Amino acid sequence: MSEQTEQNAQVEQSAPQILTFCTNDNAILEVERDVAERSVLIRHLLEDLPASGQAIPLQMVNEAVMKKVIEWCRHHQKDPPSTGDDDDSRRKTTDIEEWDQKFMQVDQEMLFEIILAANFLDIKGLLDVGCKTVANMIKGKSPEEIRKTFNIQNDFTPEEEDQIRRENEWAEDR
Amino acid sequence: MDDSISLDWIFMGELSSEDVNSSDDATSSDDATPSEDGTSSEDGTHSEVDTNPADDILLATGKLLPNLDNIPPDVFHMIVRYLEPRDLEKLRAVSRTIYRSTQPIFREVVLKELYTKLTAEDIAGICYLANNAATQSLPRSMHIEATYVGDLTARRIYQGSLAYDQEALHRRPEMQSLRRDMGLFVNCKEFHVTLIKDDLRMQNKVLYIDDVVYAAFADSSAVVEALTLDSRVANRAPHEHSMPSSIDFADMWMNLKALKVTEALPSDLSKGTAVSHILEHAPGLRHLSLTGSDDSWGGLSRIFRTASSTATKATGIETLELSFLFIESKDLKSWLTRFSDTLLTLSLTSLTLLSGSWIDVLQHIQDQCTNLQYVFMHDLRRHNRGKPFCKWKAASGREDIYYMLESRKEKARKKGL
Repeated sequence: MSEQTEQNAQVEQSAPQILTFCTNDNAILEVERDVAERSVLIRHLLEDLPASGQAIPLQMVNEAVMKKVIEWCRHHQKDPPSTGDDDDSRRKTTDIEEWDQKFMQVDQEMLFEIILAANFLDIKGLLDVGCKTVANMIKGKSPEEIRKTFNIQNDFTPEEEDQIRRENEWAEDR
Repeated sequence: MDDSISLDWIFMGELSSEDVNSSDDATSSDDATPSEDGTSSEDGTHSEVDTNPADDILLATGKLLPNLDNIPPDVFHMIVRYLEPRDLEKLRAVSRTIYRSTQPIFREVVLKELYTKLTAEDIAGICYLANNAATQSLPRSMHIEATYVGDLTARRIYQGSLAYDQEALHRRPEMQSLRRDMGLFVNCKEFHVTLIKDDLRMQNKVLYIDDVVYAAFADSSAVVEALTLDSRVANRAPHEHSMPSSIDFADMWMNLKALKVTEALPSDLSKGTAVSHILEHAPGLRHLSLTGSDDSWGGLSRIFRTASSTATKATGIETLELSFLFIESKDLKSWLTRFSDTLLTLSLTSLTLLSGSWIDVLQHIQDQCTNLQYVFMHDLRRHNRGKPFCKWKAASGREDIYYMLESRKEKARKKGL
């Protein structure tokens, strides 16, 4: 154990405080290590791999999205780390703090890109905010309004729509 | 909208034919839901929202815009877990892909919150009980037999030459242990209480079945969903009597769904207060069965009168079974009217009308009980008017019931009943 701790300490001392990332559209972004480590994926990557000083490739994220992700991580740099023991129960509150609300005021494509990036990079706080934002876009809307909001085609047959209506009525009667 | 269709087509075109077939299968089957953890199903097929290598490429190259219906299942589930049931209903009606993706959580919500009102902890408790080897083999019903004091002793008690303590059985240590341990039999919700004759036993005998009900359930930890009271061995009790009231246990009948009372005429249940006590405090009662005695006595069945005069809390009786009773048509019609909205099954066996007309009763059933799904009639007669006009007739479904009642009315009309 002491040997491992010593090795980690050496990594800590020799690790650069600025990390470099290469996005899938070949943009090079420099990020403070403390900020980048909001991502569990990156934190584990840095723990497992020796520091090479080379840019870390991010095949799943483009420059624009990564800049937004970094912006969020920088703002939430001091937040306590996620405990990781999140259960599977349904969550009731979709309240989002004001800064995050403004942060998520982006077009829908960017919103889903941020969510996917947060999922890929394992940034739980950002993923939660993204999912809450989408949930809030669904809440209180009719099926047709949801289709319009997310540009989804209605591919049900009339019989299938009738079946779903009956199922929903059954559930509401309980 | 058109963009997503064309991109979807491109997406499909880049898959192998096997993958396309898999996807088609998923589209055509309503039950082809993705597994709850978002992984592929057992046969290796993937739902449309499942992650696919081609998906990654398209997302990376920007050809396929990420949207609600093509994001990875685990992310989709994170989003829908923030929705209330009503929003979930609206969402699942958006498209086939979303319908399939929401099915697991929709079922979970319907089961947990809408249908049963149970919390996740309740469900976990039920699963624990169902899967726990220590509890799954526990008894599911309990038959409590109490010994009747016997006719001679009963007579001496009525005459006042012998003392009788109604709460003596309740105080017995064995009954105290039984009441305490009932709560441990978590699966045991059905109880039969019977008076028996046993000349050999000298102690713990009771005069009224009401006292057995009190001894078994007052201050007990049982959950009673079905209760049968059978006092057929009891002699004719000349006096009205009341169940002991030291302990208030009205809450005991809150979960009661089925009550079956069988007694001799005119025995202790019709003169006691047990049946009234239960009916007054059992709002969830669905099944009520009253059985008298098939003797030649021609007076009004008091158990029926007792039940009729009780301010019953039950408003949703679905099954009504009346057997071996002497009744008046106005009382029977009053019962049918009271439960007309909810009554689904009606069984009338060996009923003798003391007054009124069977034609009126049958017409009343036709007019009032329009939701009936099953009717059984046997040995229906008028008092002092000879043989029954109806034997072993059963009908299910609205049409069959209508024709059966019509034919019985005609039969009753011919016999002047």
